[in-house]
Amino acid sequence: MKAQPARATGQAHGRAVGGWSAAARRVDMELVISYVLIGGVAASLALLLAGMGMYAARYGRLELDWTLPGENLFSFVRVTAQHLASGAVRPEDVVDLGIAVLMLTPFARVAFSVGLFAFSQRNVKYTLITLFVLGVLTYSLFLR
Amino acid sequence: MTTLLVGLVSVAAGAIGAMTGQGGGILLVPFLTLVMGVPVKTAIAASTVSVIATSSGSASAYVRDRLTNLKVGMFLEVFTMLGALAGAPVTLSTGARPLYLAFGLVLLASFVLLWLQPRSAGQAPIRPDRLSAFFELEGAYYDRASGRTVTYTAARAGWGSLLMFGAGFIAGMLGIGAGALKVLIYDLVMKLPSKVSTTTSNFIIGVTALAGASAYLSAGLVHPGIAVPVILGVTVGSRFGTRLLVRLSDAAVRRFFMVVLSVLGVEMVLRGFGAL
Repeated sequence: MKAQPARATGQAHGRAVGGWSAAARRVDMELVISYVLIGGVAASLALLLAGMGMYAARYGRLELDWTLPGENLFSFVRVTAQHLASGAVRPEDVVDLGIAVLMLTPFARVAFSVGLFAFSQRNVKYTLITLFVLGVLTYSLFLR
Repeated sequence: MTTLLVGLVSVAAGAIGAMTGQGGGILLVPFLTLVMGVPVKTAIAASTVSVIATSSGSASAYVRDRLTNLKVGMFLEVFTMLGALAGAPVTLSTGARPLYLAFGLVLLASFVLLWLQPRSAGQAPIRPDRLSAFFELEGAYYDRASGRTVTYTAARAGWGSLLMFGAGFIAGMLGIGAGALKVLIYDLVMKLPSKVSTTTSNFIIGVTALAGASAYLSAGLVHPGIAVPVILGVTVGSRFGTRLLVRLSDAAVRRFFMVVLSVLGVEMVLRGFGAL
């Protein structure tokens, strides 16, 4: 009930902005979230399998015996990306990237939800709720 | 060798978990610790990360089929996330024995729940409480079996969110999805249709697990040598288990699972007391 005025202003705003905003409202939220989830998991599994294959080919065994330094997800992603960008692609980095992509999947789902609630659903209440989840997750992923 | 064994054990945990609708995590940690001798915290960390894969994979299909209630999910994951963020540090700062004990008790509690098999009270017309109304905790889904659209509203959102914090705490602490516990809260407390409660519970497990996993990653407990075969194994196992479920009778699966739960539960409790 309380969302009514917000939705009304949203629509007025939408008319003012025109095409982009109207297109945003037609986005199918369920479909986008579904693709984000399956895309993230599929990419992660592909990286893990490829990394293990490369590892087996290079070292002739399947024991993944390196350890991850205790660091937060964002610095883990940054360091792994730096390794991969430096040219020589080590199997360890491909596997690490697979783990990172998996952990980033629910995070991306929440980030997309914020945008979808804000621009497609125009639901202020739920934009704030998902923004809160995103904020707390971001904070916890930056810890340490 | 270890990689393959851990992978196989995870396939088994994932398959049995999926067949019984419990998710792989609840059997994974006991299997890894009791059978493979993996340190309990390493097992919990690997299990937490793998839970992200299994829940997100199936959540994708449920969301696409519009069974998941996104608003109910996003509202309640606030509480499970906070619970997991509170639960994971408890695991990091405690010794191994209390963790075995806690895990054993959760296994035995699952056994009791399955034994009593609480039935959903059915969809009697419910008066939504003010919190549910304010947070728009309502929805509709198309029921393929009956060919009609079912509309519903949630009840007792206050109690629901408080209990969800508890479910998140247990999930974060023990590296399990705690899906069965969440479904119970949806069914019995918030009175949601069971299709909506199972799919929405599955939807929020990913974010809950990520909150726990972030703490375990920072603590250096995510070991690729264990976590990677676990992720791959549980994913394969749960796909396989879902298919197998169609062929085996419900009662047989339940009886088998109850035996597994009780044996593992007793073993974990004994280990918690240092008797194993």
